[in-house]
Amino acid sequence: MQIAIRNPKDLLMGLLYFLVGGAGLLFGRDYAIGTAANMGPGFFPFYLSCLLLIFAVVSWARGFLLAGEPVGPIAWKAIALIAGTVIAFGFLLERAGLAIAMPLLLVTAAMASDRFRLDWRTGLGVVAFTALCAALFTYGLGLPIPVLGSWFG
Amino acid sequence: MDMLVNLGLGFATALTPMNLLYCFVGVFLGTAIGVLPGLGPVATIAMLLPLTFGLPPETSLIMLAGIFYGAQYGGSTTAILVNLPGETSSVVTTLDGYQMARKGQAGKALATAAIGSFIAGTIATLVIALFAPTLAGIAFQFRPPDFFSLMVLGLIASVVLANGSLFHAIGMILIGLLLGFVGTDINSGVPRFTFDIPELYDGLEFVAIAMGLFGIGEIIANLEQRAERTVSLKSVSGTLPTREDWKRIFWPILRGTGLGSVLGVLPGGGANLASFASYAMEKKLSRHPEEFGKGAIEGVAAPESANNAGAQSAFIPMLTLGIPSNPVMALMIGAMLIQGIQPGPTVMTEQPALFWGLIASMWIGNLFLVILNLPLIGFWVKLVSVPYHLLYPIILGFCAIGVFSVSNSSFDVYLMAGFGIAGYLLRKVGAEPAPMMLALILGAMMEEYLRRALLLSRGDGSVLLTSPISAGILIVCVLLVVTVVLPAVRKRREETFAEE
Repeated sequence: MQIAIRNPKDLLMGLLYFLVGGAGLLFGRDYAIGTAANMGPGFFPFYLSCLLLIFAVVSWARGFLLAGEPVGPIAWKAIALIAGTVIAFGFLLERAGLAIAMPLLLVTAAMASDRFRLDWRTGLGVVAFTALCAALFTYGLGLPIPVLGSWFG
Repeated sequence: MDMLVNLGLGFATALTPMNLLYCFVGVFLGTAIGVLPGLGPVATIAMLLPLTFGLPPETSLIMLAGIFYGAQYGGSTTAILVNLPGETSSVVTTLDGYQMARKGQAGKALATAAIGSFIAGTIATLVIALFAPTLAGIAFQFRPPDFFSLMVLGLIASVVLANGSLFHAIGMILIGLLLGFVGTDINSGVPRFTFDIPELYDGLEFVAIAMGLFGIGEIIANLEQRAERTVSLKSVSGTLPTREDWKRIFWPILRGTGLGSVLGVLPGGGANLASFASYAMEKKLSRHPEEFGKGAIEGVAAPESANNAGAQSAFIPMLTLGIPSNPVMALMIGAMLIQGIQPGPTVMTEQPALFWGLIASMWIGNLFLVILNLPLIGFWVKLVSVPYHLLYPIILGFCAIGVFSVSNSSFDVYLMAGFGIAGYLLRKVGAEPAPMMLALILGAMMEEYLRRALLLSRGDGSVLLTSPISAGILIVCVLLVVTVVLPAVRKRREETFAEE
């Protein structure tokens, strides 16, 4: 019998179950399990992690036995730009302030689309939206979101 | 009549000028954000949640209810105009709604959705007012095993309704439950999976995860599709249904409302089930079933009514038991907790003005929806037709600033980015994030109730079967599982989803 990958999606899901279940066992190894009548903090995490490992094995078996479709192309550029710019926003918001973090987010995110052109209209839009956010969140709602952050004193 | 007195109190609360204003603003903003492609009610509400923080409890909940109905309707609008359902329950609306729009009847489809939702909302409000006190009475009888079984039912229902593989839907639930344990264990005070990160001691911020999975993940997925969506703008004139149309949609609306009101009470997405079921039912009952899928007005009226009635009766388990039956209700509970209200059977007796005010404002929210949307349909259409490459950076900006402001934490922004990637990749490998989300919400709660149940029974698991309420719920669970596993039903289910 020839062994071949028939459903890559199941294999990947199996990997996910394995990683999450494995992490649950690894990081939860010091939590007391206790008994059914008196469960410790480790009771649920332990059994759930074991169940996830079983799911991993079943999922891998499905990947070799049941036919499926290929995963298809992954939009790595969009992932990197969108997630990266959100993380940068989180880092910069309190340090550099909204006036820097928001325009950076808008322009970097827009670069993920191939229809993006940086011209005066985009610039105007970026400035207008940043001003709207400042007016709404910082001044209107009084949330602790600085327009200029701690880097500027 | 107790009910009239109660509703009177509710309307007295909701009808102050300030509350009316906030309800109106909520409906407007909810619709405006919900109309944007790829933003369903969960992401919309999460994004607008910070706007309600500074308000008094009643006003804040009334505004939230407005946002909720606005977001729902906004989702239907996108479903009809661009064939892009923001959430599972508007999937059915795309079938005939988009076809109507392509025939130049977009206005009529939108009006039908609004009218159907309003009628459904009105009836469902009365149903809640009528039955909530009784159900709250039953809720007082609920003991730990009953709560646990009810949450099991919720999870099973969400698996049954998940699109795609049942196996992976269960797998996603397991992952969600495990993620739900992140944070300090209530019983022992032991921090679990917190890695000494202070932000994790209170658990994973659910709003950040919801926005990541359903907001950011959707943006990445949309960016990948090169083909431009075509908005059906042929003509949006002739918005009101004619006499003939009224005849056709009258009974479908009522039947949809009935189904929705009943099924919505079920935890785990009863509203979705209701919209699928009512569509299937109308197709069966219709004198011209061949029109379904080609722009039958009943195909918009029935599921939209069912969906709205279901969305409303989903408030019942939330208000009486404190159990969120879907992510939207979890957001509502989160908002109540921020206001210092612990949802549960005592809310009705201890804070009647708030409870009945919320119920009255549901109806007012629905009314605003009709008043606002019939004249503004043209405006929403314009908003939808803004090119996506101009819209999504703004959506992303709102998501980022919104999630930060929930607890002023940069960590939550990172969390949202991470779950955004996860949401996109999960969709790629064919796993639906919705069951995981529900499991994550319920995880720690389920653990707590099972612990208490087994502590009281000294470790005897049969307590789940000897308690009549719990046993009854578990029987429903088994029936639900059996119907899905049975080959005949399974085939039907696949067909229903294949029609999408």
